[in-house]
Amino acid sequence: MHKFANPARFNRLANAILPWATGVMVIAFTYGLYLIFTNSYVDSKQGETIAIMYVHVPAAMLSMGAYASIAIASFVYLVWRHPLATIAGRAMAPIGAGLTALALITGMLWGEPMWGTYWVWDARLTGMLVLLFLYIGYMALWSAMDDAEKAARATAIVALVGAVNLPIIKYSVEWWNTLHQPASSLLGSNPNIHPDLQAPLWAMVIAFQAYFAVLTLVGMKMELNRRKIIALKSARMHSAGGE
Amino acid sequence: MMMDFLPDMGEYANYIWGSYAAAAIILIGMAVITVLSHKRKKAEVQRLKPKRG
Repeated sequence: MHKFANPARFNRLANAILPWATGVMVIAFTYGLYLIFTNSYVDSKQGETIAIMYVHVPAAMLSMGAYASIAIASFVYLVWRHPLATIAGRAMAPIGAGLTALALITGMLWGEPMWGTYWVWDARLTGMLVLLFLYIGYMALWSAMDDAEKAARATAIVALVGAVNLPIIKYSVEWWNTLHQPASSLLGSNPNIHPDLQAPLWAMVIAFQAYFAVLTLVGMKMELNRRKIIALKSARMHSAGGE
Repeated sequence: MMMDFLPDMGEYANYIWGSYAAAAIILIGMAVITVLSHKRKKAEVQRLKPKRG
């Protein structure tokens, strides 16, 4: 794992993956949107609003997935001091925050016609709002500390502590009586989503995953360049001071 | 022409198209910001790199 700690090696790997991930993203988004806009399926209970599911569910899945990835990266950093782990965490945080905001917005727009209200303080919705605040706190902590090493340690601890929110979000609909519906299953031998809904949902889930992968890799390359800029500026200052 | 292609979303069309508009703004916005920031940082690295020779 440590062989990828070399930025040049990571950049080579990222450059090889990026065109493929971008291709998968474009194809999956195109195919998914084509299926959504040509599929005339109307849910017996939710009517046409079921179409909101195709953006709400992938965004909600990834908002939690991104945070779980940040928590894993934080663990890897704290245990093995892998330098790319903090870079990955820092690159994933804004994307995760954006996807959490998207899940909340689309959830509200789905909630108003179905529940008669944009917002209720039920466990699932509140858990997602807390997740958004955790992302914002994580990013704010990175920006607030000048010492990169201290910032990496502090944000890693915050990310790991915040990960306790993930099972609460996931199982809130089973543990408590919530307005939000229980989780539907896309996987396994007996998925409880209508077959007409599965293909466009899978396409959008894959598209969102590829989107996340692309932006994370670009974000990591950007963070490596940011650190290189700091090092180059510092080297210039030292050479100017020595002359 | 576009409206012929787009399906009729019924009485809740505003909520549905609102969701897709929010998704487009957030996803495209984040992608544009990330790529532009990356390009800016890359150019700055090139500018700061000591010239050889």
